Amino acid sequence: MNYRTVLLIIFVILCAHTSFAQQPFTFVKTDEPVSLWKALAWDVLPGGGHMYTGHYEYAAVFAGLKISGVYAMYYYYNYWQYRGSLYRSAKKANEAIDPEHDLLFKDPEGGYKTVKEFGYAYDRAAHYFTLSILANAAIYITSWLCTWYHVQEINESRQPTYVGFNQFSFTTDENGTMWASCTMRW
Amino acid sequence: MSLNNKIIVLLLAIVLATGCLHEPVDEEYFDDLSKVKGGQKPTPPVNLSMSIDNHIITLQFETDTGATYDPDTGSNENLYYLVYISATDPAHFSDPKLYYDIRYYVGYVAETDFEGGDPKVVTIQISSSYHGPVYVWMTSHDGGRESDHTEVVNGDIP
Repeated sequence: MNYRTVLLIIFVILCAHTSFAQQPFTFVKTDEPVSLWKALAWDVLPGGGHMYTGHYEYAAVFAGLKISGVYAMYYYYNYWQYRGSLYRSAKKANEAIDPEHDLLFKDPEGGYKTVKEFGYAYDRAAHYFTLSILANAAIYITSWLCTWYHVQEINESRQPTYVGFNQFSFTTDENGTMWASCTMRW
Repeated sequence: MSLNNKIIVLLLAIVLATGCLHEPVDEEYFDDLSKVKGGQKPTPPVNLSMSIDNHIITLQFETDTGATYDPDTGSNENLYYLVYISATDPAHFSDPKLYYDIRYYVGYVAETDFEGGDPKVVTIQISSSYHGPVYVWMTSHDGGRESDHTEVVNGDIP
């Protein structure tokens, strides 16, 4: 298990723990419809939209995913810059030390690499950063979809309802005529 | 878990998370021969000569004159000698790096492969279908870095 996995587990446990330790609360009165736009806006924060709709388990999971996702994006951005600096340094050194040969430079992550191989590692780091952005987008879209579904679910049970009844009555006058009446109340 | 412990765990997580980040290196990071495999580059063999007989090229060169050595070890015991061959004059190469290109590389012999002293002899069998000029040059290699090339010797295969 590498340190990235350990960090991910720490974040998920931490977020889950802090979320479950909270007293249950909601931002909306239970008798009012939930605003979809407010819920989606709150969901920009880790777990915010799910807290807004009162789904605390979802809040814990998405808070963990979002915090980890943002950290991964930050990490891979730094890693991309780092690999870029190694590539530029190796390229400059190769040109200065022996431009006619492809020198093998010691990679801080292990082994030796030529300038071209440092370039490949730089490209890979850029791909990791791109993937982390895509993963964050996927997490946010999934979270928004869940929030939207929960808001719909809540609002369905809070639609105003109308209670009505019909009353039929039959009366007979002195001439033997029968009258029927219908009263509808809402 | 008390609030203090929560804060400690959170701070620990932040420290761990930021501690794993990579800081970019400066441009002079690799301007250090200890970070280059092979350290300093060796010197090439000397007095390279060539003779051709019936599509067999015989190369003679010297490495024990004291001029061929690895500056990191002070000897030539760890050196390999690489042979390059071309049908065109390398003087017309567009890029000097082509002297060390894999497409002209034939093979290598190690210093330890030779039991006697100088001159050292290497033979190369050329396909009997080839007729024309041949240009040959050599380099030394210490397992990490390659030397400059020797002078280019040339001949004709009739």
